[in-house]
Order: sequence, then C-alpha cells, then structure tokens
Amino acid sequence: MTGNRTFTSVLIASALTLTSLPLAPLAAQERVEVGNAATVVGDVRMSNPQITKPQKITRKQRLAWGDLVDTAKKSQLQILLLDRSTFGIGASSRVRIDRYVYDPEKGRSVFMTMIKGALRFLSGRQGGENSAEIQSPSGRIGIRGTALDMLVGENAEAIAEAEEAVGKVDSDKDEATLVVLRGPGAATEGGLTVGLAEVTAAGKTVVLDQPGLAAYIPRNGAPPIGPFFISDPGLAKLQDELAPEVARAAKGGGLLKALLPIAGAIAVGSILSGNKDEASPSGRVQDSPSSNPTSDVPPRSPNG
Amino acid sequence: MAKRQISAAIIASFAFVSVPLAPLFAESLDELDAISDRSVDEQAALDDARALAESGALLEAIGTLERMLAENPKSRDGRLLHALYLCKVDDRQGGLVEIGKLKNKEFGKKLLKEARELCEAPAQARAEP
Repeated sequence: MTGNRTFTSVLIASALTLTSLPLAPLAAQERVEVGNAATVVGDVRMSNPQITKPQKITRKQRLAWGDLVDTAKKSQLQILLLDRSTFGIGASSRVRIDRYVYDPEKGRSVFMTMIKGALRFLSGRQGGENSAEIQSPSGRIGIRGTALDMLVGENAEAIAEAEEAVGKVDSDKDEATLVVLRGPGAATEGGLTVGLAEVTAAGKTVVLDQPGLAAYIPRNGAPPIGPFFISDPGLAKLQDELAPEVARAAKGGGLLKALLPIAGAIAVGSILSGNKDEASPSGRVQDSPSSNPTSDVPPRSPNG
Repeated sequence: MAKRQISAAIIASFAFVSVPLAPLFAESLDELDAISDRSVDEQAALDDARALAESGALLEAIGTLERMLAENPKSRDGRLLHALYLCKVDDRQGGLVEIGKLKNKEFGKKLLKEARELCEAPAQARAEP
C-alpha cells in the first residue's frame, strides 16, 4: 500500500506541476502511466511522441499520458484507469489520453481527446471531486459522475440525422459528434452521483441531465443541437457500435450454439443468481432498498 | 417455474456473492492487471460484477461485464445482468433496449417478461417486489 501511495503522490505531484504550466512537449516529460488496456480484442495499436510508429498492444499494456490508441475494424478496447473509471472504445476509433490525475482521498480528473469512433465512459470510484473532459473535433464534453456514450464521425452523423429532433443538417463526416448521457439517473440505486454532461461548441452549451438525453454537434464551428431524447433504434445502433463483439455474436446466431441446454426455468434462474445450488427463492439475499426517492421521478422532458 | 420463482431468480442475480479474490477497488497498476485477468474468465467476472453491484458500485459492475463480454460475447448471464444493471442506474431505456435484443428462445419468454417488468418498475418496487 505504501508503494501505491507513493505512486499516487508522484502522479499528483507531476500533475500539479504540469497543470500550472502550459503543456510541455510530452517527449520531454517522464512517462506517467495511469491505467491499462484491460481488454483488447482484434488489432489495437498505441503510439505517442516517443513511439511514432503505432505498435500493436495486448491486454494489460500500461497506458500513459499522451498515448494515442487506435482500434481497427472488428476490434475494441477497454481502458481501465486507476480509480476504476473505464473508457470502452469501439471499432475504428482513435482516442488520446491527454491527462489523468487521481488521488484516492481527493478525487480524479481526466482529459481525453476523441478523434473518431465510439466511446463509452463509466466513472469509477465515487469519493472526492471527480471530473472528466473529452474533446472531440467539433466540441468539448464536460462530465460529472457519469455513464456517457459518444460517437465521432460517420456513424454519429447517420444515427443523429435519423433522429426526429435533428433531421438532415449540414454535417461533416469527420467532425460530427453525438453524445448520449446514459446515467445514473435520479432514481439510481447505490447512492451514485447523478450523471451530468455539458456539451459545448461554438459558444453554446447543452446540458444533459437525464439518461437518454443527447446532443449532436454536426461540424466544427456549429453549436450543439439538443438536448433531445434519443430514440430506441438510435440507442440500439449506438450500443452496437460500442459492443461490436456482442452485436456480432447476437446477429450471427452464435449465442444459441453457446448456450447450455435450458432444462427448465430453474436452471436459468440458478445461472442468473450465481448460486448453482439455489432452487427456490427462500433465503435468497434480496436487493437492498434504494435510498433515493423514486415515486417522484421527473417525467422525460429535456432539462425539465 | 412459477412467476414468483422467476422473479426471485432475477432479483437473486443482483445478490451478493462472496468473491474475495479480486481487488475490487484498485489503486495500483498491478491491481488493474489482476482485474483484467479476471475479466477473461466469464464466471469470475460475473462474480465480481455481482459483488460490485451489491456494494453499490454499479457503474464498475457494468464496466466489469463489458470487459468480460468483449472476451465472451456469447455470455448469456452477462448480457442479461448488463441490461439489468443499466436499469438499476436508472438507464431504463438502455436496459430495455438491451433486453429487447435478447431472444425468447434463448432466455425464456417469462424470464424476459420479468426482466422487462423489473426494469420498468420504480426503483423501490425493484427492491421490494
């Protein structure tokens, strides 16, 4: 644990020094490792100012400030950071870790750049002051305690323009940015911080404060459109971009082949419960009641 | 199986399962590597996700399942749990969309109906069916 604390202190010291100065060229800085590639599927490559030719990475590759990660087609990655925040990266994506600071006592801040593709951010430990910021080619997304999905590029354009609230607009296929807040909502369990995202472009900020609320920036220099509630078909397509392996397995019918024979609902229930010996509901540990108010959950109206 | 039993089965899927092996709250890179190792194993990842959810760390539970599903995209338990945990963080639309992708012949019509009802219910009702 002492080692961990030392590491964290070094991380914070480095971060504080750098946050008070203009960003120096990364080549001149010590490598600050902040997480790993917790899952790697397919062809995923990493480069940075020192490694200019992208190198293929494998699971548990350490990732640091300035690392640029590229996923190829049919590939995906999850970046796991020290506070257990995650960035799930879909296929044909490119993201860069600009900066990450974590102090278990005080909180975490993370800055990322998303150049193209699909990204899901899930915030980790809830203690302290936590913030995250993601830069896209057309805007900036500020995040608080959130599950958030984001698309940049042609898929963002296709999904957004199919939404009634957006329609056909003048989009740039490389800069189009779609952001969808996924939670936690006001009725979340677990006492989590309710999610919030601010999408800023061309001097305008759109606030996303309910799960399902979305904003779309069609191109650099254009203000965000929204907030609007994404449709079910739009959300389904977005989810497929973020979990291409699952989408492929489901569409290919491979799931059925992988299943154990369903010998009745008891077997299914046992699988779900995680307790193979359990055959009746008696004695099961039930979910703890939510401490959040639930009967007065606001209706779905943007920023209402 | 009676509806009541199915319901209990779904709720029990949220229940705490004692799995002390994984460093659930990492603060070092070595611990992150250990977490990554467990994600490869479907059952270990499911156990970790359930333990995290029980402790209230629902977003981390979802992240754990997503790691596992990337490696084991055919995991039936993983897909259903992922959808249900989305519901628990009040992303009911996302949870229902995912449940909608699950096939009756794979999961059973009743089970999916129960999952849908659980997701649509207010949080308090989800906790006290």
